[in-house]
Amino acid sequence: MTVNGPGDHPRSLFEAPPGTGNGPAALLRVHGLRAGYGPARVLHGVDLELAAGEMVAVLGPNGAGKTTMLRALSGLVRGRGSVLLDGTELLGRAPEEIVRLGVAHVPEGRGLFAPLTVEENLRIGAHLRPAAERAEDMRRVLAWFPVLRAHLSQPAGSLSGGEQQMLAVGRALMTRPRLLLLDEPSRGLAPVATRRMFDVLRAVGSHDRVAMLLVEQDARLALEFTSRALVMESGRLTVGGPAGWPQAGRRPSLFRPGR
Amino acid sequence: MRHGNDGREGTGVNAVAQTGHRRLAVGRMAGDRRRVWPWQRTTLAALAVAACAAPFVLEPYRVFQLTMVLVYGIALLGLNLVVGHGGRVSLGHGAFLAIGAYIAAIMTGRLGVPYPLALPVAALVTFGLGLALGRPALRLSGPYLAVVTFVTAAVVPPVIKRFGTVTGGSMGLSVPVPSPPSWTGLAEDQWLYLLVLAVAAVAFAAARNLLESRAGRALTAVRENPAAAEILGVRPGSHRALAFGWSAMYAGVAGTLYAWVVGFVSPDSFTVTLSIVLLAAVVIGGPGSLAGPLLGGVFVTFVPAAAQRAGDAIPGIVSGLLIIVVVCFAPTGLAGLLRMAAGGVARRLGRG
Repeated sequence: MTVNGPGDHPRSLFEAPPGTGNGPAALLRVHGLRAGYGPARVLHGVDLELAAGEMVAVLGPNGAGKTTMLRALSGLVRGRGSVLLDGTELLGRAPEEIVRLGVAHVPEGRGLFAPLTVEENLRIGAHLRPAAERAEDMRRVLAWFPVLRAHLSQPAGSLSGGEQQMLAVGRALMTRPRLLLLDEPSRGLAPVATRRMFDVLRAVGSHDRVAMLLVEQDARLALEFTSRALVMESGRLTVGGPAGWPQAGRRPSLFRPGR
Repeated sequence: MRHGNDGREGTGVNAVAQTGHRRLAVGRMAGDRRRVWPWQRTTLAALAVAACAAPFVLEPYRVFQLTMVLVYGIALLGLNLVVGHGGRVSLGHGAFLAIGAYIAAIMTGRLGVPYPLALPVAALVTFGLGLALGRPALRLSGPYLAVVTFVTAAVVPPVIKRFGTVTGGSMGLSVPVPSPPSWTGLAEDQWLYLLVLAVAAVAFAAARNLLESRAGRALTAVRENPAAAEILGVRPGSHRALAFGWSAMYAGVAGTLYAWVVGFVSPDSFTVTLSIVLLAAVVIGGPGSLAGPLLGGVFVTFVPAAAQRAGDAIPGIVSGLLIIVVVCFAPTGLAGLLRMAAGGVARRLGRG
């Protein structure tokens, strides 16, 4: 999947989204990723590159394989092909090892432990972290999501939808990831809550150089916040380009930096 | 562990701006540092005093009954790790109880080993057996584990009968009852009670620590959402197996204490019915709580015996009915009912 746009555009436009590019510095290199459930093949060769700190959206219709791709990347579904994170092959490893290598996954439906408190949920996120650094990690996450601080001893299930989503993301950040996989973070959230969430995600991405791969139904929102968007159709990534300028290739005259 | 508003750093302000809103802090969060009456600690202290004083006040038979409540409480504490905290059903804990009891009986009765040594041996052996059985069995989901454990419970008594030269067969084995050191001046039943009470205290403290530790949280996470736990780096299989091992160990320890207290073991004391009654007691006592196993112990000690007087098949019927009543009207068990009642009283006191 190419990332750089057609060569006739002024270079500066493509430098606007931070971290865009697939030079030798790419954090994640996916090549020919195939996966499925039993006899049902879902992914038919996905190619993808992601730089450190880059935020990329994956759009596409239901059943295209977006969720399966994330599940294959985090080891929940067995995949074939090649997935290199900073040169280390992820395929064939247990989810636990993949977490250790720096991939965090916020699953579809958030996957919170509802009867456990907010604090306990966050602590489970730190399961593999060295004991000495857990307090510091907790402080960092609570600084990103101060709303959670007021609810630390409350069951996760009693939070509002937006707070639950923040907890799910915060819990994933407790693993200190280099790559964060987000499965429809905007699902079931009010637009305002979603925007806040994306603001924080963008800040985390640029501050801690966390790369993010984001499955999203809300194309407009995804295009606004990410540096580029890919479209998945029937198990393949088909279209890719700098987000915000989806028609850049055809109509360069209408090119306007979004932010 | 309580987080007040003490650690609010500078970065927080920035992030508030990013996420926009924050709920108004009230009560403790707002810095209300007035002392709250430590209900829990007071209750615990009162219970501890009552527990220590009981053998000197009650008549010997009551002391014996109370000892049995504690013995079953320890076994149920273990079973609760699998059922309440692990979310799995085990119908085989009677088998681990039997193994613990027979280890004590053979070691002290046949081999003449000093009785305290039987306890760690029984604990280690049952822990190992539980781990070995739990690892493959817990890969299977719900009903399969129940079947595997049920078979274990069904197989152990015949095996004990088969190896009669070691186990005494269906005649059973008598176990020398631990006698109190003469300097204490205690009667046998008092000494046994205090011994069991000490073990129970350690067992409950250990369970509490276990549940509040990293492993305990991981276990709850696996129960609530195995896939979500897995992508946070928690291995569901090994945590479940470990919990099963711990749980078997508790049953084994309870078995050893049982042998000491009753002074006699026979295969018929550890039938499948015992396993079923234990499971019922966990549900009735309150799965997933620490007080539940003790209340369950009360149930195992008193209800079947009382029902027996009404007729042979009655204990089963009573257990079954009680389970239905509890599941329908108090899904958190007797422990949950007590908590609610205590909450009601506290509110009333607070208002008055």
